[in-house]
Amino acid sequence: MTRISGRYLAKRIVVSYLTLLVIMSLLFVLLRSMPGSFISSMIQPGMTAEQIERIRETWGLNEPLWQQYLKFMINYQTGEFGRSPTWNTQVWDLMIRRMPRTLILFGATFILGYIIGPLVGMYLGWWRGSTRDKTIFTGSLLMYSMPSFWISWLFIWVLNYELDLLPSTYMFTQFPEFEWTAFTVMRDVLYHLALPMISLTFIGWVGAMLIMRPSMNNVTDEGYVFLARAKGLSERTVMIKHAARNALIPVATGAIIGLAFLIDGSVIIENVFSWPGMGQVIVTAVLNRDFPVAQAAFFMIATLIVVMRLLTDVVYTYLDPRIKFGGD
Amino acid sequence: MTLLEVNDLSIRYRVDDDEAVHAVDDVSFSIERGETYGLVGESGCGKTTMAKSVVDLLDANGYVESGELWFDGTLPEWEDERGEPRREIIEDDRYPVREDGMTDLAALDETQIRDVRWRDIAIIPQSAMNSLNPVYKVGDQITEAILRHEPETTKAEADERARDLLERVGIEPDRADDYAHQFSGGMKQRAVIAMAMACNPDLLIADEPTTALDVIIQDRILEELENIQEEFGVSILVISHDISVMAEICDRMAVMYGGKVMESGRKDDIFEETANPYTLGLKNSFPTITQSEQQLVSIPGTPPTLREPEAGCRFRDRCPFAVEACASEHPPMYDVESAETSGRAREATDRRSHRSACHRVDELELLRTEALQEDTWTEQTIESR
Amino acid sequence: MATESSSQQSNVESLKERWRPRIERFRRGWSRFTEHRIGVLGLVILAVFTAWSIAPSLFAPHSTQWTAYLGEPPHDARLTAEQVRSLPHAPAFGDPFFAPLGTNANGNGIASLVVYSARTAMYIGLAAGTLSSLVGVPLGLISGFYGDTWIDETIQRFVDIMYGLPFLPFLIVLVAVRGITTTNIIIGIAVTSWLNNCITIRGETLSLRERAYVEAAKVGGASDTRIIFRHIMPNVLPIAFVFLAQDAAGAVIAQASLAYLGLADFTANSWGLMLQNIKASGYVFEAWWWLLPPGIMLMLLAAAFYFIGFSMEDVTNPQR
Repeated sequence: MTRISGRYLAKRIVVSYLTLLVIMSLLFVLLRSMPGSFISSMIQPGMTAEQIERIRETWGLNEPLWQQYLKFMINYQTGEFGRSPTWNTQVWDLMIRRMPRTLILFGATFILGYIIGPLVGMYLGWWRGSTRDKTIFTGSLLMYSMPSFWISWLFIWVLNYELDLLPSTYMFTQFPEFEWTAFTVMRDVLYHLALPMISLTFIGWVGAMLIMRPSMNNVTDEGYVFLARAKGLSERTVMIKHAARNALIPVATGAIIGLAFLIDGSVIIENVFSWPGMGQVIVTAVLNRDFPVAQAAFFMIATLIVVMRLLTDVVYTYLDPRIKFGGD
Repeated sequence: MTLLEVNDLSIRYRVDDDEAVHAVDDVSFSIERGETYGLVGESGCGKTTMAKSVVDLLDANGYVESGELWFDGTLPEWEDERGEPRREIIEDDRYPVREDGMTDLAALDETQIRDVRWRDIAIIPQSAMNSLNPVYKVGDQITEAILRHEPETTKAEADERARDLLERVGIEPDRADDYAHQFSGGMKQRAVIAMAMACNPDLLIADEPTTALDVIIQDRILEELENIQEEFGVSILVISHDISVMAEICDRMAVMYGGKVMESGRKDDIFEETANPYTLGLKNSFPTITQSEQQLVSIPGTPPTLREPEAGCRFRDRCPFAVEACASEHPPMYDVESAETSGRAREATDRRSHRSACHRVDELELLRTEALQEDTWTEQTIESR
Repeated sequence: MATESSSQQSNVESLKERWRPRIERFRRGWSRFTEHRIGVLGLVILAVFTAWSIAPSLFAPHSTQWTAYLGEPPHDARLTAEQVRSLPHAPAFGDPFFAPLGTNANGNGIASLVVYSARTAMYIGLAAGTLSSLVGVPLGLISGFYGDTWIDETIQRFVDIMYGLPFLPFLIVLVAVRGITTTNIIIGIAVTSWLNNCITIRGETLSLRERAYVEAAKVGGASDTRIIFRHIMPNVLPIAFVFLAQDAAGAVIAQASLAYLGLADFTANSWGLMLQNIKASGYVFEAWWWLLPPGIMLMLLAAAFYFIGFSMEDVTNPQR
């Protein structure tokens, strides 16, 4: 990958890191400005002032805000996320357990969506203006407009409630009647992954298609497509090897938006299917004013986004030989 | 030996309301092996359509309405070891192959024509710089063509040939590993020429090879084409609106206007013994170095739209020499030489002779003299369309 | 008197003259727009929902307070235990009451609720979309016009940071911080969705500012503000409208998602709230007449915005 300058990569990493720091600070301020704090649930009526004070001290809430901020920033450098009152465990452990689960769901959906999306977009863009194009395009916009939790319910209703084909909750079978081997575990997870993934991909693929379609349409007018035909190559080769390959470039840059969309989707989907990932955690944490967990969850997701953004830039450089990573 | 024989070819474009644009109407000419043939005319005269139709690269709404495109070559699956069509193919009426072994390209379907493309007839499109795919290496795009038509070639051989071709057009063979954006404009053009020769075609179609290039590169490209012809013996069909390009490299040429051929024949004949009012007007609008003071006169008016054209000569509205006969039918191709010697207009029988589509071909002396005067052209009353 | 009226005449004349090209442009754009049936469909759907928003009582069979068996308020009786058990009731057409889409767990007519809820969705969609544009477009224009200067850099850094924040969770925090009201929801959605607006407009402005007419304006002594708002903005507006439509669609869905998570404004009837209610009362798989209509309405409204947006995109960027 000689086109990627090591120095520029390092610079991007540093900038990303600084961005993360700013994001965290923003979060700190924002979360603290929420009315109520997580200890409100712990304060029973009838507690003495000292008891309340002691609780506050345990959780570090009695210190001046700037001190809390400093502690927060420093601790985060070392991955010290504190302890969660809601889950009563080290936040770091919680994150470590949950993050991979979200990654599985989110990653699988992202990959599936970004295969189906550009594929459909390629065909639609190639045939743009035809009846096929118009009908499929309209249909896909309708799919894109469905609320994710609603379509999930519909899928659950048909596939789980009525037909009992796939499980609708959790990631693993709760009371398994089979042995835990690597194979059966994987199969079990896939089995549970099916419905949430189908529901999220049902909506998510459209985003990639919406970029590929006009891109493909632009490319078909290009001179090199004409020449490819003139060389006697089959329509299929011209469409895929020459046109689509070029049309994919904007899809890579647009992937970052699709990313954000999918993360939102993951949050909702995890809640619908009780998928034990970050999305479930983040909502509960915010609603319960559990600062440590909320902060950590946001931080993890923000890191994910920033890293993915860097990755898409690398992919983009790889796809387009005119671009040098680091600009020209 | 005739390489391409165009017979009464008519090409239309479907537009809305079931109307059709008569882009090319009853055009006939022929190209010999090893010669450079030019098609010249204003934009919209049909020359590019004509060229693209040879290998069926028209836009989606274009179609051949009638006529034939006889080509001295045939599909690989119809060939014998010598490259000629097999006896049974010729005999069988279902195949568009003639007694003399020529194939009617216009009768081939989509899949069949793909085998003819590039292998026998290669096209160098307008502004070839945009014809290179930006995401693949230039060398790979050449090998792609080779491997498509000669699949028995190994990748190494094809690669070798690609580099060789680049070298022949004056590009270092190592540049085959570069991408299009790393080439200069002139280099890209030459790379496309190299790519066009990859399968050793019999005919090269160069569509406006000099447009959008600066003058020095224009000269190089034309030189390049001449070299290629010398080295490979390939015939070249040059399309251009620039008559000076014709003057430089063509052996024979045809002047087109409004979808029809107005004059055709040897280059020298057309330039020195011009026999058609349109050609006379065209000559007037191009400067030459030989005359010191020149008045450039452009032909007033605009070319016709060609949607359901009226009867009569296509050039009638802008022609200062139009007479009554010109309104009733578009003139057939008259033989110029016999008109000059015998004083009577006779239709040309030999496609290769000097022909002109003008009802007043028997009054050439008069036409030529008057055409030199500016007021002949400017004093017309042109009806606007 | 003669001179006065003639000058009045010329004023009206010159006004008409000035507007004619704009009207002509609008008319052309309109006919191009209507070529796309999909855009027209979007407008039709939007028209229906607008009608429901303005005059819901004309379209809804009952009011939102209507209760099955008891009718409109004031209710002079109470539901019997048996009646309560029959709720939510499937669609009934007269016997024992008229509810074309059935009722929810409280006995309210679904059809009526659906019609009355249109107003909230329309309001949130349009308001959030507009607000998002009001923030994103000027910032994009400024960022693009002063491209590669510190102004641009600052705004872009800011955008980068905002990008790192996940949209929905951030929205949840915002709403939790400021309270769950419709206005706050609108503000929250706008704050998170202006980013795409800004970036695209910036890109457009960057290329537009190189155009000849901008240089001409500069040479003519126009101030920067004037150039941005009188010369560049009109050319950027079509794209801005496309984004408005997309943001509106997104806002409708976002509000529904918030409702699902329990963060809906309970004082306003909305489709999202209806779905939250069916979830809360546990009838998701039992009462299809309650489950389907709100979801379908949400889908149709968001889709309508998308349809309009994409048709407009085709109008401004004709493809073939």
